[in-house]
Amino acid sequence: MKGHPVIGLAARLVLAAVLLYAGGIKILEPHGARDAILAYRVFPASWASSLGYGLPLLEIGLGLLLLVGLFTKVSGFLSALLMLGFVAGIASVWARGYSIDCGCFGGGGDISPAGRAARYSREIARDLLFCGLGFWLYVWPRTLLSLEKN
Amino acid sequence: MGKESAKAAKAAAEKVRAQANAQERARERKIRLIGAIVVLVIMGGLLAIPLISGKNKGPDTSATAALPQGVTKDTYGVKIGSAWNAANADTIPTFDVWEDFQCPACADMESKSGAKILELAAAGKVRLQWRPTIFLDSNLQAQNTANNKPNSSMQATLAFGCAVDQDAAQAFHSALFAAQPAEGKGYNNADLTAVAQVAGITGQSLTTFTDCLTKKTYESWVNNSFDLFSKEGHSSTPTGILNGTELQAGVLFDPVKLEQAITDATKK
Repeated sequence: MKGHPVIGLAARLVLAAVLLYAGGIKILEPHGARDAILAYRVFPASWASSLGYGLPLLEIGLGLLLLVGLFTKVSGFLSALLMLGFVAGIASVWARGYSIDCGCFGGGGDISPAGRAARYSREIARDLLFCGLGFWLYVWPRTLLSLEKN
Repeated sequence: MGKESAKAAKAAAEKVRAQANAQERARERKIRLIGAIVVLVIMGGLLAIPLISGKNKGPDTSATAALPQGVTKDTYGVKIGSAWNAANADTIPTFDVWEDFQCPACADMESKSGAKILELAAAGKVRLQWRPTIFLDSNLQAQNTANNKPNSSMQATLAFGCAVDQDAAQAFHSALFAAQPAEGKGYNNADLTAVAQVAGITGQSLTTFTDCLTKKTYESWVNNSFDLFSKEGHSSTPTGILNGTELQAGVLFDPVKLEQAITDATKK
């Protein structure tokens, strides 16, 4: 497969930036990450601490690999999987109609059903886009400026 | 060049190519191995950060930790209503309401059910306890700081504690949620003092209130209450707990259903 090395590079860098930023923020506020996981009520409460600490590490690890272009195929695949996980979490909360306020979505909190729908849709669309980038890299792992020669 | 030497040259060239390929592959393996180790080491180092920061936020259990009037160390909650002192208090359902003053969902709940809750508390039908949490301070840190009003949940709850001392708990609580800014905009001391005045705190009371607020007299109370919020397994607000059972949002936000739930809890 020939691949599209320039697009691949762009995909790698965008995903790397997103993952490093998201992971970095969570590392600095580990209680926030744990609380957000609890609020989604998808996982048992006992898992929340481990996930709260483990998730940002995974994000940073994947972000670093994508940044330098190492194990790109696997990193792309795992990133895509991670994004799907977030989409599932948001969809689950949306479907169950929770009036949760965890500050997860930042300012401008319109918590009416229409406001929530708008926010959740935006979040899901964004994460699906990132999932697409990860999947792209899984299919076409050859990219410019990577440590891997492929 | 003869056929045999051509073959030999070809074989030699292939051997060189094969060696180059093998070296290339070995080099790539080395890069992958080193890269993986570096990433793992970085991740391991980062693991230390949450573990270290987790140790700093312990509760202040010193005997001198100040508490607003009427607040006790078992729940750090602000008790509202006559039921607490009733002779048959044990038969009256307890109702803990966890709120963060920056939480729009809490303001929404207050606008819908707040009056009914206070009415039931005043009538002695429920033992109401407002339990403050400040988890939004970390979630809204960026927005609060951008608006120059850092740690707004802490500030607002400090003010609430000071208002409790001035016998204005209910008025301040209502006025604060009524004046709640857009999520993330936050409160500073000037905002909170204005709320206190709306709540009827004036003159000498206002001076004491302002003093209490600027000195952060009840900082350890707020941190202790927040600590219990996490310890008791909560992560979002508003959380309403009636006689130990968490209420669904559909009930908490509906004054009719809420009153029914409280009545049902009383029959038991």
